[in-house]
Amino acid sequence: MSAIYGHAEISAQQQWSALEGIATKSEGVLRLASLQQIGSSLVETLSALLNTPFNALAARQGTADISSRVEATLSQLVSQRVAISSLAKVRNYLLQNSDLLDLLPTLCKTIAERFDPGTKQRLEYYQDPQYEDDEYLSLYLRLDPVDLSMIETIDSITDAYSEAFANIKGWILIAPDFQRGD
Amino acid sequence: MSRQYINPPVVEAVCEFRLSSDTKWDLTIPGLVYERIQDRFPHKEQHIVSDIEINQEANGIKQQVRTNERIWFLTEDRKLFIQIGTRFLAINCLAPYPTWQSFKPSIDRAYETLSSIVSIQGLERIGLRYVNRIEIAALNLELATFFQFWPYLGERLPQAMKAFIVGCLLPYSDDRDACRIQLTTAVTEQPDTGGFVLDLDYFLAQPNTVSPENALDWVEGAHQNVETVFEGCITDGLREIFERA
Repeated sequence: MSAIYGHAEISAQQQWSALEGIATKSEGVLRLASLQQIGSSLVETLSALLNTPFNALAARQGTADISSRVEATLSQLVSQRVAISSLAKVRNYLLQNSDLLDLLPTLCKTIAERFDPGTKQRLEYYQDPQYEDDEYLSLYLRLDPVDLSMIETIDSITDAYSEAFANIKGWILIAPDFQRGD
Repeated sequence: MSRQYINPPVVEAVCEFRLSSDTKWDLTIPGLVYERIQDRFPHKEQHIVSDIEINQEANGIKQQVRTNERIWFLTEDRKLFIQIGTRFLAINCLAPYPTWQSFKPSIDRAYETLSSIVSIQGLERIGLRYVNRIEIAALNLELATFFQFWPYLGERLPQAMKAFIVGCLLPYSDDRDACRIQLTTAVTEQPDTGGFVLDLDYFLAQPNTVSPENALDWVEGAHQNVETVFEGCITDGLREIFERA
């Protein structure tokens, strides 16, 4: 038996999430699933892992499940300081629209890079009270003090991701949050 | 898990089959499968799965990104679905997990349907996986009260853990099979609640050691072992939580 998880090199939640997708090492080959969960330092991490026993990593060839990807994505978002409201509903929406798992952390990272460090991101589930099929995730951005130019930046991010969203199931609306207080 | 809990922690159960590379495959197969199962799985979805393959070669590490198409066939409530990709079949069951006795016939039907269309030459991998999400309302909870599988910290280390990931691989059937156990912290809505994902993945570790005819028997045996591992990972303290209405 081996218990190898939790290497010193794997310090960040994002890298853990990335490791969720690690598959089997078969004759020197590692297979990974879920591109979006792979952080920029993953290759370096894997390089380190390639010199370690693979017993603990030898479990998967890709991922056929969705739940662990959803959980890894939620953990990754929290580590990116994205607040999640109505967690159960967000989780359920991601389960039903798993294509979003490939985009959501990247989108939040893009937003964090494009806005001031003090910008807060909050992810919520929305369902139209009259039309149940009209449901999506809302990603609210709060900037303090309010800066109306953020709308232009949001538009440019939305444009940049429009093609990626066009061919997948599920939708995320990026919107400014002008409400005061929590 | 076959022991019946009022609040079972299973959020997803998946059974997957990866066919050997000498099994002939063509693009008409998903459609032929759908014709035979659409009474129970009427909805269709197409998904693209991205894989990175990293090879360790003499002159360094080589990366390759591949995309694979998978077709999903879903039941009316979308809680049960079949995934079909190239030489790949998976049957997923989302919460609320019914029972093994209810889930297994769907596995049987999907595999037997595929077998009737494709001449399966071998099985590189069979897997039965249970993802359990566990929430425990307690401040500073002692993991040992609820788990018999958890990260041990020596007495010279700080005992407070913000997050963790711990896993191991257990050999079964003379190393033919293996069961990966992984326990990680998970995001929860309430700040005074501990969240955990207990992920159990029992799989055929040695390719082509189970014949296609015996695959469903293997799955039955895998379930028994996974069930034993699950019960071995938890304490009565956690069972009590699962039994609460």
